Amino acid sequence: MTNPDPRHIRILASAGTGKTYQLASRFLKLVLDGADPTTILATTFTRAAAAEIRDRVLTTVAHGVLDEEKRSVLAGRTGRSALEQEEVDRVLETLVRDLDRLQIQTIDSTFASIAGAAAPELGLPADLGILESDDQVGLDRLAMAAALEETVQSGDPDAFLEALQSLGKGGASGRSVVELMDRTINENLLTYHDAEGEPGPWLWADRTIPPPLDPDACVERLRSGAASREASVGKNDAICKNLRLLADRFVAAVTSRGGPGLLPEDWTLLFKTGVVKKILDGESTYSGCEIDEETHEIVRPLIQQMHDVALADYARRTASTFYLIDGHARSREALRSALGVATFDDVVRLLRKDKGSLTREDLWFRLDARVRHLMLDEFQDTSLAQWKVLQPLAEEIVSDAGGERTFFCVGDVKQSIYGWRGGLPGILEHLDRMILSSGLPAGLAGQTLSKSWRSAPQVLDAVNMTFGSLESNPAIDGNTVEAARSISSQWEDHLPARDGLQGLVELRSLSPASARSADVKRAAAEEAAALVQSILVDHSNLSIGVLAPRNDVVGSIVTRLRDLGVEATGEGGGSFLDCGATVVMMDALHLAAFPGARAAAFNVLHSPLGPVIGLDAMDQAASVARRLRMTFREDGLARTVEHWVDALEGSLDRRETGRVQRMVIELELIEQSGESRPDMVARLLERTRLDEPGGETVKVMTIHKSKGLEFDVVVLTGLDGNLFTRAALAHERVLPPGDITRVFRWANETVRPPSVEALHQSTRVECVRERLCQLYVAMTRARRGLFMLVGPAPKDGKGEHKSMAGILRGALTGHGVEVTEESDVLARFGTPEGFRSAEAGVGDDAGSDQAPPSCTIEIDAEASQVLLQGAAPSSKGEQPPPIEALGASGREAAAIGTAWHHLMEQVDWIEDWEGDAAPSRDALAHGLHRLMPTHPVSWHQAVVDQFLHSLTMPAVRQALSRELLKAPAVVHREWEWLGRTDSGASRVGIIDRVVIEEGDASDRRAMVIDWKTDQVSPGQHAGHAERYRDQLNAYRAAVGGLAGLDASSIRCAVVFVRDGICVELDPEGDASDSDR
Amino acid sequence: MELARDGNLARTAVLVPGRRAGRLLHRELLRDGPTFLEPPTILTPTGLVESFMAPVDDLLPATDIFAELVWREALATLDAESEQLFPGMPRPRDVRESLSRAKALRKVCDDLDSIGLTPAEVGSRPEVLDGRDRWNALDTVRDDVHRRLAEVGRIESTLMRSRMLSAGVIKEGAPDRLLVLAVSDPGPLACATIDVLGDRCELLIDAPESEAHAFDRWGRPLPEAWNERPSVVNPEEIELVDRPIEAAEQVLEDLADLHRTGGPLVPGRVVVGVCDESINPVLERAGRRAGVPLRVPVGRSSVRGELGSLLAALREHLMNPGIESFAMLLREPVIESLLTAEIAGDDHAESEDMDDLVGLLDRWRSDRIGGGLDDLRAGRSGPSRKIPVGILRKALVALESLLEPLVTAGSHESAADSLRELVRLCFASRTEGDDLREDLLVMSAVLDELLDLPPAHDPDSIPSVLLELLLGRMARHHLTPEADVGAIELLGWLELRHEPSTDLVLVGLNESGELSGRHSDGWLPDSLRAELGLACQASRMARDVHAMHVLRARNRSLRALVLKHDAGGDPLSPSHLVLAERGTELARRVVDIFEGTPRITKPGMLAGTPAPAERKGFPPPQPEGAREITSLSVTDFASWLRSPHEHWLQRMEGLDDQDPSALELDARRFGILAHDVVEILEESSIRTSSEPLKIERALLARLDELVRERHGRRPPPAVIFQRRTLEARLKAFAHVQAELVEAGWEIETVEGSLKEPLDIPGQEPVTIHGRIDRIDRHPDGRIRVLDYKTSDKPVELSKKRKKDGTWTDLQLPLYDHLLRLKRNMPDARIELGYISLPTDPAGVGVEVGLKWTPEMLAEGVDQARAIVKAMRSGDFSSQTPARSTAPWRGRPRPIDRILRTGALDVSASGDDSEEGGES
Ligand code: SF4
Repeated sequence: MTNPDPRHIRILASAGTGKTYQLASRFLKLVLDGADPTTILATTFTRAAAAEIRDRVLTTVAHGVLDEEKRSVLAGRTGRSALEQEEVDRVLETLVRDLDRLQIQTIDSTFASIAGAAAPELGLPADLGILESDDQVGLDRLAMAAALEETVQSGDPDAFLEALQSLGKGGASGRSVVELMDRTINENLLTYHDAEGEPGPWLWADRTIPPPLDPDACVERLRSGAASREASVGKNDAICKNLRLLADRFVAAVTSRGGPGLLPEDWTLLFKTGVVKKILDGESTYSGCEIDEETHEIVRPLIQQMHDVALADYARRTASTFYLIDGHARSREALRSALGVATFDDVVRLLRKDKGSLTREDLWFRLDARVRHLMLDEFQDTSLAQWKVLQPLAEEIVSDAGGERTFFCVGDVKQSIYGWRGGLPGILEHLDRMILSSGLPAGLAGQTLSKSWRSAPQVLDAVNMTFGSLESNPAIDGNTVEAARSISSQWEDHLPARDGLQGLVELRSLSPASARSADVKRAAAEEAAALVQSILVDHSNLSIGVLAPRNDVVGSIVTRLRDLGVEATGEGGGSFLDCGATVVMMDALHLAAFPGARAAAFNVLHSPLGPVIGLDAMDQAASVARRLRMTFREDGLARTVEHWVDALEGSLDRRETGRVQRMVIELELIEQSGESRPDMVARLLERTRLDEPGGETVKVMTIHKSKGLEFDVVVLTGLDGNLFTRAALAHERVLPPGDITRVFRWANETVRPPSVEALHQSTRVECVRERLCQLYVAMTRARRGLFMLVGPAPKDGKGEHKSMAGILRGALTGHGVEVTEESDVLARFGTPEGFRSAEAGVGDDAGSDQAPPSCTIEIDAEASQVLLQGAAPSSKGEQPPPIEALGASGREAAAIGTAWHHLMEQVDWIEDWEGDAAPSRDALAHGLHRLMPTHPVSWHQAVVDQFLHSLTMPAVRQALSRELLKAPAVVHREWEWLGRTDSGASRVGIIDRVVIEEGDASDRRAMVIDWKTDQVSPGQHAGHAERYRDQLNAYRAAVGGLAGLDASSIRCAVVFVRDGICVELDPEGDASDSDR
Repeated sequence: MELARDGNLARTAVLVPGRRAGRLLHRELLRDGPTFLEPPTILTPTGLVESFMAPVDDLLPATDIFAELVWREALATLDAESEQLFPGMPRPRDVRESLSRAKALRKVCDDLDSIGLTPAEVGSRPEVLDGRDRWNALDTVRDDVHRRLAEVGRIESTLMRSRMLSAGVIKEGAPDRLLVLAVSDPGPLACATIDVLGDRCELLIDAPESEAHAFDRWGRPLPEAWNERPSVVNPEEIELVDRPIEAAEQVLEDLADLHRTGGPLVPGRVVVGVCDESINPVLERAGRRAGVPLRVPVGRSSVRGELGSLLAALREHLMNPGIESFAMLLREPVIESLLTAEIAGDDHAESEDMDDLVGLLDRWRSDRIGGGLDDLRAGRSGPSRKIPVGILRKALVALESLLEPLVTAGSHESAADSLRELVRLCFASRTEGDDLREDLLVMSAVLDELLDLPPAHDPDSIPSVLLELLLGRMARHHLTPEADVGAIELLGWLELRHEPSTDLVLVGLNESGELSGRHSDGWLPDSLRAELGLACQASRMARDVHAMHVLRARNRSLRALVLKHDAGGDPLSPSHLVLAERGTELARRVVDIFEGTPRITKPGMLAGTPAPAERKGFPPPQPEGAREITSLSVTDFASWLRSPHEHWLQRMEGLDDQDPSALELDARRFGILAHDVVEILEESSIRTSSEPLKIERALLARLDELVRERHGRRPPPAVIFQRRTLEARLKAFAHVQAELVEAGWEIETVEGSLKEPLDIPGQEPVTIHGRIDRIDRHPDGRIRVLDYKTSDKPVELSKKRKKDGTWTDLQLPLYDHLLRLKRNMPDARIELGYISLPTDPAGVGVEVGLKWTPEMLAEGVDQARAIVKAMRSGDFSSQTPARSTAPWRGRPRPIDRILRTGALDVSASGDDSEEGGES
């Protein structure tokens, strides 16, 4: 290999060693060297982390601009001797100008925007909604139902059933089919997708069950073997006895199974103890007797048979698992695409599957981006699928001969705790080979960081002592040593960068009383809570993180702390389910959707909310539910809940008040997103994770959630679980690139055929390693204080528990303290005095405790300049009530009105219009058609005919005629006006026809005509016209204003054109009919 | 205003950026002028071309809906070759997706039409790298669309306008002049119109004369002239807040400040500008809380009301008719009451159930697992037979007949008519509020647009298409709220620039909402848009920078709130409008904004929040006081022992909710089914049989019979599988049963009911009732009391009685005690035990507790007495919740909510679920 190209770097950065600093430095170096910042794609895993990198980059440069000293530090960081002011000025300006184009983002959002740009090719809708998870739209349930239906429809339910039965424990399925499917899918989906949904890796083993052994022959073999051994070694030999016992047990097993075809479970039982067990464990003696070759010979066929049966049986289960997941995945995919949604995982999968329909160039073009530099953060958490999408890009960059493009990644294999989510640390470890797989010229430069800027020396000592010699830790055995080795072989002791920091580490044993209690888990939670309380006494301003590997422990700790009066929040806050008031409100939402939900009704009924929503007995649930549904429709959910909150004044404590307010905000967001079904909304609320800015200083969370965080003090508990959790599947990968080559259902150790041992081993290593990484992550979250609570060590010197607790005990016990029966401190680094005396930590005290006084703000409504608009006086006939407008007659009436007004507008004076120049009937109809193309031609003609007929009616003619006028006149048709109302609003209107007689100044007068196409019963016209009085009065005022006329000289009339009746409306008086 | 004085405004047209600007112009015209005047024609960019230009041919512009449908048709009938270029085309029946695809592609062509380019022309440009075929394919589709449109006398409106402009003929009667008023982003068509009009056109730009060079000849701010200008927001005007909620608090404080310095606030002069409309509700609410009226002068969207919700439910039902959609539709109050009315009068007896059709349907669904519309139509009930399915059947039939005209409509027009009629029926009895009235009018207007539409090639999808289009249109319409002179208005960034305000609070000066940065676009990415002269990032930025200058110049006071996070806690970027600086000033701002501490309010500490109460307002409900207990079932004791609190809720208050959308039998119902099957052993012919096969046949036949009876001929899939798993258990049991008979055991009673008093020292006795699954008798005098158990694992007798002498389940000691009492045989040899029917057939068998001595059993009975006493005294205090099981997978059980233990359970099903049982 040639020398690695320093343009391409992989950094392995231990916890607290300034990963973000490295990333930011690298970014800055590129930009200072002239790279266009928009061509740097930097991805990480959380939005907060992305923002942190961005902020760090910007502020570092900004400080460089402002401060000469910091500028020279910046120069040093980016490998220069000095930096000119202009240079940093320029860089900062460039960065800020392109702020919205910087590609510092989460890996998910990178994929999401790619998916957006390539939506058509990927079969995604243009307005893709990305789901957090399937249950957000009920996709999980729909897919399950569809998969089940599909199986029944496909006509092979038996095969499916067999599959199911093979999956259940003990080879048959339980009462719940759905649960079993759910579990199978959850446990194995990742493997399924990592194997790209291909059957190959799942179906490699022969599934033919071998013919059963002849039971009589077997028994005979065992008995005669025992007899012949007895003959040679004597009567009291343990092996002889055991062989006889085995023969009896074999008979019993065959009887109980109902035939000679024993299943793996039967074999497991058979060989659980005894000489065969020893043979399988590779031991040479049984109960002090040596296991000779002859004994091996006797049991060999049995063992062979067991392995053959197990191989076939588990192969069948493996195949069943595949078919089950495959069927479900297909059903789900069909539904997913029909619903037009996708999760981030779907997006990545689609991108990975898409081969060739998109070229990368085209893709980046569509994204308006170019990637010349790739920077990948938290690289150990990258999943195989994600890497497969990024890999071509990385390869392209590394193979760039131009010498300009760069690759950079940073991660820490020791912090890879997201295997359950697909994170594959092997990619980081083997990156060199992966990128070089295509025979590329240059390798990666490597760098390892181990100087911690975070933790006190005492904390680091404990970490070093624990992980530096993992292999020899008494809690590590043959099963786990490989995983331990994979960490300790690459271990570099962490060095403190902040020597003066006074830390304190204590390993404590649960008090003897709790240790004896049956429920160690509960004890672990209780003592952790008590410990936190005692720490708070002296250090109320320190941030405290209480970490546990499992969620149930977290839950109990939060509850316990609250009981002790310590306000604590679960991971970054908590959920709406942790507060009575919000739970009851969610139940009210639930009740609205499900009137029969008795529990919900009960919960509301027995709470202060009951009276607020009018529920005061269980039998009113249905009617209250209906009323709630109505209210939600009318007022919206957020508003309704806000009303509840108001009405609950005096019933909410402080915490509840905060929670309900958050809930209202959340409801507003949900409503904005378009969801309004109360049950779905309640579901979304349930899932909502809350963080509480400025909230409590004690945060309790799982180790997983603590990734990327740090605390002044870490309390670690619940560490007594086994290091190895049995997996559902064993699998084997090729590294690089991480493809899954073989999958096998996890086989019980006793019956496990040697041919699958390697798969199991590699799976176990992955699992144990991740557990060790968890411990590492947990310990390294601490800045100054680290308190670890562990359960009791095994009595009678039986080695160590194979747990995190065991590892800690094994590594640390006795350090700095004398261990006695009574003391519960097993190890100590640093001194409590030093810890107490050290400078108080940050402990940000954001936000005051007092609600700000509500401000009194007077509004001057008199002087208000708010834009007002008066209602336009209707000119097209009175609008029917909308319900009626929906009816055919209402719409027809409106259409006729429109058409008629259009026709009337064309007539200036009837005298001029008629005669030779008059437009033909067809021309009129054609004009109407252009105006109202949606009506048929026959309709237009009919309207024109009616119109022409009405022109023959005296009242209509008169309105259009200049015959009776005394002076020369002008006519305005469809006269638009704008006027000011008394309230100061502006108002516009259009008058059908105004005739102004331009007589002498004193003689000027006007006639306002409004055409009405209303159908009016005979004799009702005057009364009907009354409803237009306001409208006509508005017209009168407008004409007065526009033409400078006095109201008294303006006459107004409505003309019912269909009936040829004109009704004049004088300013105040009665309407009077004029003749036809 | 100047304009109003030169008279003859009727011949003048004014182009304004939007409707609100038009109204503002009206007000300004009247401000100092006459009370009435002839207004100028107000135009917005959309209507501009037609107001001036003469038509070039007889083709009518197609409405959006019309054109979208034609696009959909054209895409649905693509030839194979073009289809290759649009992979993943939705199936034609997928109405929603096919329409949205049609819209998206039409939008691309529309943009191009406005600049007179065809897709093929774009495809052949050098910037377009690899997508050439795709552009050509789009070109073909576009041609097809135009051909189809022309056949029915239509044309795409943008294309028509663009042609009118190229022809350049000004129409007769067009206004004499055009004033372009502060339109800073006229589109390509508007620009072309301005060109054609030449001298007839005047541009009024919001800027001093000296800035004339900073605009192009259409009045657009030039990116090169604006985008590099330093920010006009002064550092002391920038306020850093954490999230929308803090922004709201800050706004209130800013307003209070203004009040302090300038006296009462004058709405309209004081304006709050909101750059991201998602913040509006938070602001409005904070204002309400604090007694400061803040309001958005735009009402809710028309699809968000009652009508919209009804139409959306209808759409779902039409697109995907099934029990789910029916249930959803029924939840619409208008539908429920309409159907209730429709079926009323038939049967008075059932009137009570009719009051709650929704609840009834839910009960039917959870009873008849997996029941579908067909089952309902056929009136099939579930196993319990207690639910009056007839009512639901009638409701469904009524609904279907209501929908019939809509579903079978052969044209868009008749579908529209049927829909109107349906809506009319739904709301006929409702007193319309103003909002509903407006929504109805909007719907009606949109439906009018649908009066004539191109014929559909798949008539089946007509109603779905209609509703999809209708809802799409209605979504764009917002209600007009009453103007409120006493409220400070919250105005969007785009309309803000026209407001004559003097004091401005700007919220959300971030790269989000209307100020947001670029979006990816699969067809016309920003760089290409810029090349083609379409609106792009740079032009938008110039527009915004200019607007900011206008706002700064106009307002005497300005506050700019920059948010650190959005409401969900995700980080935001500050807007370039506050960062546009150079050198040290820029650096200072960067440090202030990116490192500054934003305002953070503790939850519950908001202005106007009522003082919190001292104690928790919503503690878990507790049973109170003593209760009278006269009768208990045998299983009540185990339930109480598991968790007294849950026992109270579940058994005594009857809060045992079923999930209506369950897919399979839950454990209880699975157990009942198994119990009901083995009852067949009572029949004499089987009772004494020792032939496994015969027994097996009888059991399986009974199982089939029961499943058919309860779940119909086509049971839900999961139930089919559950039946199979039960079959396996029963087969194994047949052998066990045969062996029992072989061994001399004889079944004496099956499901024998038991009802005996249990004496409670010092209190009234309590009646204990239960059903003994089975009592066997042996010729040697032994009696066996056996209970069937169908849990997945065999029952372990040793777990029923703990070492300390307490029992976890009192079933067997009580049976023993009561049976002896009842039969008066104190000294009989009674063996107690279980017949387990677990998953593994090998585990099926009888286990009898031979080691239990009479003393142990007596202890159990005493324990029962103690429990009765505890219950009577109202002691249900333990709160240890039992772990949740299906069917509420992953969600807290309804009871967990009452116990307030839900949060813990839910989180347990979160990310860490992989940590299952440890080996
Ligand atoms: S096992 Fe017990 S609780 Fe479960 S279904 Fe059967 S009788 Fe009911």
